[in-house]
Amino acid sequence: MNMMSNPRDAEAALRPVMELRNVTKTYGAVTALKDVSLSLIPGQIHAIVGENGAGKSTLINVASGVVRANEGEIVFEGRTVADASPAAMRRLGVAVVHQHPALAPDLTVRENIALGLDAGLPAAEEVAAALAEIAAGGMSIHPDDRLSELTIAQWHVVEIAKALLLKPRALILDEPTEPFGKGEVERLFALLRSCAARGVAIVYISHRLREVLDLADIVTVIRDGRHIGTMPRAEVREDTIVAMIAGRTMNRLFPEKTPHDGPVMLTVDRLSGDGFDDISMQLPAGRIVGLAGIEGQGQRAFLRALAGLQSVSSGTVHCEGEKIESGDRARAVASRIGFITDDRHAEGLFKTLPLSENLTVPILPQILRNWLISPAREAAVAGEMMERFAVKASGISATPAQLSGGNQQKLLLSRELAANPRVLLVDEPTKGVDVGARFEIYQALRKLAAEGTAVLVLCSDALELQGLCDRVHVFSGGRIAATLDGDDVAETRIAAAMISGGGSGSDATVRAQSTRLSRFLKGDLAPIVPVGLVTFAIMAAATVINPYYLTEQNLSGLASLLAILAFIAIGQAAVFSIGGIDLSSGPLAGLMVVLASFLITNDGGNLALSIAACLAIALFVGLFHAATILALGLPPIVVTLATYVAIGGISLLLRPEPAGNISFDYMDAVAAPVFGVPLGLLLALVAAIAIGVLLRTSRLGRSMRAWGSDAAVARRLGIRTGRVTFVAYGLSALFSGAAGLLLAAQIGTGSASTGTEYTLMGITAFVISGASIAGGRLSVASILMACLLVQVTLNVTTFLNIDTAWQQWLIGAAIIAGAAVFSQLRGQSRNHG
Amino acid sequence: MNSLDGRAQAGGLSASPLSAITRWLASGDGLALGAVVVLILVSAVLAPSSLSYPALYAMLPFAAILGVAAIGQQLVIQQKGLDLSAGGIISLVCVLATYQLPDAAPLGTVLGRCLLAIVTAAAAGAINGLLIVRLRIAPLVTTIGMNAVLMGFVLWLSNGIPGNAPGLLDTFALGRTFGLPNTVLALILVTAVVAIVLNRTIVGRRFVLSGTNSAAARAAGIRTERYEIGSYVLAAVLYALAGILLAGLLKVPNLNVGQTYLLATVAAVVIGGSSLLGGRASPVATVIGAIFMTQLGQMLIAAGLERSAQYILQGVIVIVGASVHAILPRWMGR
Repeated sequence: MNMMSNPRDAEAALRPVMELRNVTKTYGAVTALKDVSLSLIPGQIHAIVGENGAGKSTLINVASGVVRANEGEIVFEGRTVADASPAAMRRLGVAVVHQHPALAPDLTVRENIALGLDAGLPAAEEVAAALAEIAAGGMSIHPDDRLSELTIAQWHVVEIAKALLLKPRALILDEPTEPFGKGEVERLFALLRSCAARGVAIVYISHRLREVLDLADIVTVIRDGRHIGTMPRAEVREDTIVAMIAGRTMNRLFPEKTPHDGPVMLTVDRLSGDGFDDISMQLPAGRIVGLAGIEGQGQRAFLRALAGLQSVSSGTVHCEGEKIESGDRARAVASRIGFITDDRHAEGLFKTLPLSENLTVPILPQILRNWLISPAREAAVAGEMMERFAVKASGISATPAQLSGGNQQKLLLSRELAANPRVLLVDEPTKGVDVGARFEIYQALRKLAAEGTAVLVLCSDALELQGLCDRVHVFSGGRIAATLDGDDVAETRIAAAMISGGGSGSDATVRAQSTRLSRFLKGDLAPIVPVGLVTFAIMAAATVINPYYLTEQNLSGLASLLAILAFIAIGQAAVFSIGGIDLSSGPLAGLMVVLASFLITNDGGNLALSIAACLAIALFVGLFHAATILALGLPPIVVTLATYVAIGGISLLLRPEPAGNISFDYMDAVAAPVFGVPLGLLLALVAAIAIGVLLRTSRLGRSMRAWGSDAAVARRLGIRTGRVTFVAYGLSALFSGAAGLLLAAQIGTGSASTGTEYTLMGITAFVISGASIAGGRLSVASILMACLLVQVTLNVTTFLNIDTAWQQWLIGAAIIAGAAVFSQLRGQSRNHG
Repeated sequence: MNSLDGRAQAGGLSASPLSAITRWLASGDGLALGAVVVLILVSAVLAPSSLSYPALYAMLPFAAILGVAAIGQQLVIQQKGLDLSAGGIISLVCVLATYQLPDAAPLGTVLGRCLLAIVTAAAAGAINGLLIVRLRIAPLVTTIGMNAVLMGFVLWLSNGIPGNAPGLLDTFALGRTFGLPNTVLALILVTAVVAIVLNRTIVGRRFVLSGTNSAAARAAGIRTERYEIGSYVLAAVLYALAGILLAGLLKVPNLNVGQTYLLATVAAVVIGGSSLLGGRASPVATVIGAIFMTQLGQMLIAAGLERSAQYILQGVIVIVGASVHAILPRWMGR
């Protein structure tokens, strides 16, 4: 307990800083939380324990404002929090360390922390100090490292640093030590105790029961979304808590172990691959073997390699004497090696297809009649499968999305069993499964083993391993650190081997601190170097070959074209930064040419007003895009493809034939040199710098890039989709409008056939600048250089007197080659996320 | 997005026949058919001449050609892709099928040219697929780049001058068999084959599974890469078929003729109600979507509207069509 000398302080400290009162949360038919209450008292460490899927994560999401409860309220310092958004909770001083860190992979450590603090960029020293406080040497993390370059353990350190830098009143940690070894866990616990001593209320969630009980002052048990009990740690014994978590005593939770060694089904000999090294084991029929280890020790990579979902570098796998080729899931399936994923939504279920079609995946040949799939037969087979496993659903035409987690898991299990596996690999057999269905799954696995299948399960829960497995291999640093057999398969032994075996959890992943050079090379700006070199090489070559190339006339022409493309590409970059796309840029610029031929003419009129009118129309198009995408939930590519065609139609409607001269004064003004550069180009450069500053240094810009980098994370951080979408599409359209006005000065007459090609040119420039079309990564300087490269390339074809077809080929080849090169480079440097 | 197939929807939790009917109406086929009915009613009022027998007969071959190409686009969309090179492929195929061929070219020569066109298209599709799957380049970037490269070939081969389709091609595209235009027969054949393969064969089922959730399909041992690459190849072959028929029908195909098919193919799929997020889709619904888009164009022309108005309406229809399909099932599901 903390040391409170003054009794009045002690009394004040016992008043909760934050409470959840009678919170209920349902997702469709599933009740995740039912009438749960929780008080957070300053200076106390409050542990919440429960099985996977007991509702712990939902509780955190409610407390941190990520999801809204159906009933109940959040009370902070005696006042009800009416609008509990993530930002609002952060402002109150509630910091959350998420199990899956809420960090945007394409942003740097400092930028992520700035997002989490709703503040400007923190000083590098401040961040480095926080990191060093959490892990020895700050786990070699530099404040300007990009998250995608870091390991899982480093992600967790950053996530914790982010929470601590908020200087929280209440600190909620969800499985913060998942990838940590013993030393790191002890250091973190010391830090948490000192935080508590300073009066912070701490909520700590973990399934590593031993750790939790070491740390906690108060323990709350939840099960199946219900509050089971809250008690001071000192007053309860560990086995009482275990019984409360499970809802029954251990021997009734698992079927009886009946190990009998049948023939060896799978022999793994010195298998090595990405994340695991030199693993040998034998899986006999009749036994359930478990894989344990703290997160990221190679156990999952090993299991997936056995399934053929990950390649191996050396070693062999034999199934009943037959050699299994590595890295080929289809061959493994043919050898009857079954696999059930730990992420059934992403990798298990076909959520929009009926249950029948989900079930018959491995046995399609059995439902054929006269070479064709027989729906009647499929229905009969699927119905039988569901009945045998008691999958509860409204019928075989229901979709998996309508099932509970337990029934979804049973669905996957019955699908694998239908293929009659010789070996079954199961990753987290009961993740997100209710207690009732759990027993059925354990029983099915036990029965399967008894019938002669070798079963290998990976579990993060040591209790489950104890209850289910006959033998457990504990992984550490990619190797088997301990093998436990028979009576040694006990929660305490497994947990001890997990954190002590082989030493620290992140030993295998420690790396040298990044240098300024390595950060630049992996940064967004780096591609400017090769792009620039190619550009100037082409210009130099053209100068040598053709003396008319480097003339003032040609260069000023090039400058005008560069200005137009720069506006287009920078505008598209704003949309790409949030992971969207705007195909309409080119036609919109074309529309501006047509409008200018009516509004900006030699007949006079107010120039400023005309320009404002054009830009307003462009902006309207952008806002229309954003509104349509947000309100109707349509893919941006469909919306902007539709406006691409429609805007072309409007231009054609206004100017069926080219007509209308643009004001000569306007044309002269745009081309007039200011500080030695044509006004148009100067404006484009100013706009580019403005966008660069927005994206790099402002909160809004960081939010936009975070959204493009990982929209789910951005949502958890409380970034609002409406704002970033409107800003991005608004800017894109506005800049396309500006590009169109410059294009009008270039063309001089109202023609509906201009502009369209700029969509492709803009995307080309964006892609060859090394920016990511999927969002999050871009450098405005590099995009400008790429625009120059595109225009120089197109311009040079006319000087070298080659076929106009080359313009098409060069652009087409450039976009594909650029995308290919950069996607390969990124693929190599990206660890995860 | 639940706008998948009527069977899955209708079978769901329906208790009464009425709810089964409303569910079918909300499904792709139902909505697309509804849109066509509405369009026919509107045509009857605004431009009755567009519903005359000769007008419909003139419209059908174009609808059939769009239908063939749109089924290709649908296959790509089913694999969560998008093919913006449809226009380039159709343009290039039109050049290949006509380039420097005498009007009286013999059957062997014409067939050889058609084969060359189809093989070229298939190669372009295969390159698309390989770049997208193997090098993990976004479909949009790959196909937009491929479209530019193909248009480069169109300019290079043709020198900017469109060719004349040989007489045999012309005759075939305009001809009739059993009273039906050959183009329509081609469409019926393509639709039937694609529908049967997708719904009733193992390879088709695996195609749908891998489009619905490629990670899950891979984990179940399906070689998803083959299906994804295959979708681009098959799509390209269908565009080539459409391009050959188009060259024959138009006799002198414009060099840019393919580009009008870019949005039109996507539009037909969208009107047909297929989810743009991949998975199951109905070729029949796509064909209905193609008929809708073509009849819309004819009606607008008959009503005295110009090409520009058609473009505008096409854009509007795509957004409205996609919204209806996105919103209605959500709304009915409540």
